[in-house]
Amino acid sequence: MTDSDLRSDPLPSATREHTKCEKCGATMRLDTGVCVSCLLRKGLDGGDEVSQAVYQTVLAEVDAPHKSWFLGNYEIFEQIGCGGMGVIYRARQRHSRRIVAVKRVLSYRADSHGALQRFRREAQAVASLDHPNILPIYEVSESEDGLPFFSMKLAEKGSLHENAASLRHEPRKCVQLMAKVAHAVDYAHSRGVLHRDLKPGNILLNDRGEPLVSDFGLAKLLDGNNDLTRSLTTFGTAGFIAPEQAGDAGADLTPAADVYSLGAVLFNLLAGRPPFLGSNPVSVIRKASETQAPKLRSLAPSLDRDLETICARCLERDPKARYQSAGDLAADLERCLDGRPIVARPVSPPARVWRWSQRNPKLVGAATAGLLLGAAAVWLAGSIVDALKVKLAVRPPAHEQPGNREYDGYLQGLFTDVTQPIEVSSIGNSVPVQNPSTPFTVPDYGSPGSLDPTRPDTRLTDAPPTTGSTSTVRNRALEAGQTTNKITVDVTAAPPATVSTTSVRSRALEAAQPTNKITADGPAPIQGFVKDAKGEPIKGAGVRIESRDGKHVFSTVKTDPKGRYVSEALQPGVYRVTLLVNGTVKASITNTQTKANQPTQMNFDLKSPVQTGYTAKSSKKHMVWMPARTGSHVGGSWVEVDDEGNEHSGSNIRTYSVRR
Amino acid sequence: MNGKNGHKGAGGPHEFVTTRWSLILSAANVTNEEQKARDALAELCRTYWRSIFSFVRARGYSIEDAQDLTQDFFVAILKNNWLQHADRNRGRFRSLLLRSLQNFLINAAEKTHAHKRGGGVEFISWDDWMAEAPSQLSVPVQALESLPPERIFDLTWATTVVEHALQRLREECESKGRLWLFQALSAHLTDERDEVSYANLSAELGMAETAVKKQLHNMRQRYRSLLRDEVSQTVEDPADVDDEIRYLCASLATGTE
Repeated sequence: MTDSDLRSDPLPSATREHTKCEKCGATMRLDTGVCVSCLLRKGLDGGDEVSQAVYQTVLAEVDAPHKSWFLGNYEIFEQIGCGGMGVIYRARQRHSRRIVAVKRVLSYRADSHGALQRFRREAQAVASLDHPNILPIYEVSESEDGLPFFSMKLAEKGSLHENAASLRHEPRKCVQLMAKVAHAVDYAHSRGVLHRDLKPGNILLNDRGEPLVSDFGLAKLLDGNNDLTRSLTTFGTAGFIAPEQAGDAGADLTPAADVYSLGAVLFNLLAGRPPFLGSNPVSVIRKASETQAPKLRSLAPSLDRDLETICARCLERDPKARYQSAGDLAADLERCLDGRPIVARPVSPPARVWRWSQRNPKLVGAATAGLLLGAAAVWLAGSIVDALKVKLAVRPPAHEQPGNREYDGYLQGLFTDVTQPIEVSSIGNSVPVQNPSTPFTVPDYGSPGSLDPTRPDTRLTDAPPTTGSTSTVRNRALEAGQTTNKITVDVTAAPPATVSTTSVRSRALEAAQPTNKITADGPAPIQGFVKDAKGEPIKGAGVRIESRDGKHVFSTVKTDPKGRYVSEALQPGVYRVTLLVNGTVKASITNTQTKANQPTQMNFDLKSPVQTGYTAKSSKKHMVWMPARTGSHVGGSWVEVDDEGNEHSGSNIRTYSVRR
Repeated sequence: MNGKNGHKGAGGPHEFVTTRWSLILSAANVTNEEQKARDALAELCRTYWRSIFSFVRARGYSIEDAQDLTQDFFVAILKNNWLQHADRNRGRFRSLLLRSLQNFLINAAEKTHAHKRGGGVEFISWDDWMAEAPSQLSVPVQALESLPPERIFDLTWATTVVEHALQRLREECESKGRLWLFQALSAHLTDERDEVSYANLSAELGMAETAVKKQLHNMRQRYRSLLRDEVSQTVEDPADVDDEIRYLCASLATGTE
């Protein structure tokens, strides 16, 4: 149960402890707090050598072999662990004869009266936590030398750390344990106590194998003005603390810091190692701050994808992107156990880019300036020779949000091969298509940095922003409600835009149709209507279902007199759906996800600009360029994200690609 | 065999048996002593593996690579005639080992892609070793970030010396059923006499103050002997023990400035 054996790397643990030894000024200490340098210097002291034989004789003079010593009312048997703040003994309470664990603060750590006061007060507060999965503290007291100690339940089965090897083969049990732990942590949060040092060694198991969170809040409570903030332990188990916790000792931590640790513990249990490894704790923390946690299934491929998603959500570097409470985590773990769809969603690549750009504004400036110019060059060349072809791509839909009309104008300007303004709505997600009317600029999206190069800027062209003629494409949520059928319900039923719900899976969740219940892969058609601005069918319209790369055509159908089309039955998958009018491509929607046994609805509505005024106020939106190069494709996609980096479909034209 | 029993060190009479390092050096070219020397060398390597590993890690290798390289290094010095190629005039095991390790890594860097390291020989059982001797050293952040690998090597070495001495002291107490005494008193090994509250210890231990004093005094002396013994195993001449301790103390001081 020592902290030292929790380390993934046998190197010294790092500490921000600057307390210099009063005698020699050195700062290297053993975990017990004794100065290494002083211990070494002892070898230079004069005095007689004492041989082993002599020493054994001296020892034998003490007439009490196997004797215990007392700390307050506790008979101390043996040391069972030591950590940053103190030593833990197995002990027996004098009168009750109960076997307990006693933790004693190391003298050199309790070097100020204030710190001791704080410890006592706070330890008592923690002692008031009453939860079946929190290790109970029996008594807070102090020894004759004035140092505080406390007694607690002795967890006979050791910690998760000691049981990790056997638990690793039982992922379900790991999840069950961690769900209970998360509930316990959530309970403490509700009482205003953060743990701040959750790690496998602090989660003990009672004789029935039930988890008991120990040292609850003590890591925090020990933080006084004497810079005990970073105990040896905290850094020694760097793999489990949240990046924001390591970065700034004085940071105001939120429950999200504990959520991170819970995720790291779960990750460790399932993958057999913490998310981040490094040559020393400092480098581990640096990695945790600078890089994305590895995917769980990259280390343990057989595990459920949902577990990977849950871990990833916990291990987000941005505290706001994590579960906002340990209770939320517990709930998702339980959903996972029950086979219900979880709430957490994998973070989309655009969100990653956005978050990265938020952390590295200068880098982004340097790196993407060239990219932007390159993109502009491609676009300009394309327009000049009129060789630019635009393919419209719609990802699986998400909840709707008001978008930015100027940006829409920018995108619409690219649709050179569409002869009249049309709008495509599909699965609650509308796609505007219309001729360019004026050159455009891409406006300021209210990005935090005025030089944020992740969005296009006026270098592309000198023309002013387009306004009126492009307003048709907004307010999709409303229109989707008007023009699509059942799928619209999904959209309107979607929760407010905090969690991206872009996947088919999440829509199923919103509609209470767990996708994991769908096991058959029965084919089903893509179907819908093609109508003009007045809602009338369009003559000569047809729909072509292709593979995503356009190389295979699965089905080509014409609309009936009512404008309706139904494709042939298709295996569940991702298709490109292309709208043709009299043989001319009007729009092409890639990444159309279909489900098993369930027709996919996709309507094409052609609307005139005046019909769809943009009324919604633009909330803070930012554009993220997702470069991509596939074969002859040059370009990528602009994806609209909010301040949190959550991609959303509010703009309707969320992605497009440019093909030469 | 060139025993050095009864050597007098600077600090007074010592009870040194043949130090491992002197045994290794003396036996290197003597066929019938070869196995003994190898055992002694293996024992020393086993004791100080953490320094070697730390050095390799500090050179920027991943954990896995560092494990491989440490393994290879041990194989190289244990299987080959390392001593016959080594500059034995360098005297101390620590410095000779470090020099050899540096050379080894230069060569290893060239060979990294040439062959699969390890050759199937498993000299180190990492889990066992780590479990057996978990490092209890805590180092300030700045030190770990800024120190050159050579310093890390020395730091780890110094800590190993101390930890080993403490471990032996603990075992001696335990073997006599007085582990509790070790647990109660070992924290005071470095305290000066006036810093110890004998009254408190007396109350905690249920012993007379005079008895506590005597036990603590003897424990300090025994610890000192064990520490010197640990150091002496790595020097050829026991008279160098003081110098070696001073060197290690200096390395700790440098690391913490």
